[in-house]
Amino acid sequence: MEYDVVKREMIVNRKLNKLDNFVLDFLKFLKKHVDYVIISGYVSILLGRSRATEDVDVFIEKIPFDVFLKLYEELTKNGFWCLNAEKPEEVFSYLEDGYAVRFSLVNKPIPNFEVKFPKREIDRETFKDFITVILPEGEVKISALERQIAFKRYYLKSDKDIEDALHIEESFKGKIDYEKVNKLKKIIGEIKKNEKK
Amino acid sequence: MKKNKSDKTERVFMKPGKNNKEDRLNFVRFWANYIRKHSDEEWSEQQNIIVNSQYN
Repeated sequence: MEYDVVKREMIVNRKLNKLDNFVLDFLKFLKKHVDYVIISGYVSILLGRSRATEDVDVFIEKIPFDVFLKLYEELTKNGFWCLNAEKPEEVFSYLEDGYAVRFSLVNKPIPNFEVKFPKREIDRETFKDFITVILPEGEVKISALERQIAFKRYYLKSDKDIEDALHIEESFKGKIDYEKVNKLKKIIGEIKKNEKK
Repeated sequence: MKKNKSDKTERVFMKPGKNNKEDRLNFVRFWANYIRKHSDEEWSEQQNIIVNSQYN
């Protein structure tokens, strides 16, 4: 993997697997309608972590219903369906209410895309703080490595998440901005405090 | 991680963990080190065995 920190680009000449193909297929339709950034587990898997997952988490920018409807129609025409509801109005209302909605290939719930609008400022920042991963057969926008590490280590904190964070840290030794990780850690600490209230 | 000096290919050995959690973390380090030292094509071929086995 060649990671150019300045250009915020990463070239990964990996052999694609079934999950990568699913992701690239979905993104082909998604990115025609809305800006997106992939976050969490799939990022670590894309960058080599030795595990699988049932879902791929993605933030999409807040869009009005008419734009969402075009995206929804394109997805359903091309073999995807929503696991949460059938009517696009209902799916959209879930998104607006802050829920994530899942899309999979028809009658194949695994793998699926977990799509959500960003809720907090720290989530919205991912749209300005992303890396483009260039694969042999497409591109994927992922959130910055420092965000992955901070969220996994200090927000999610499960064994699996700590391992995901460690994988990124070890794989990109010398290229991680720990000052940024620590700033994010403080923000996450505040978020967690507020969640407890 | 220790390198075996007698091995021309300079094998890197994984330190066993005191418990399952530590052992898993040590393997994550071991695998990340493998990724750094091998081509994307080589490591992804192995990773794909795990990933592809989960989906139809």
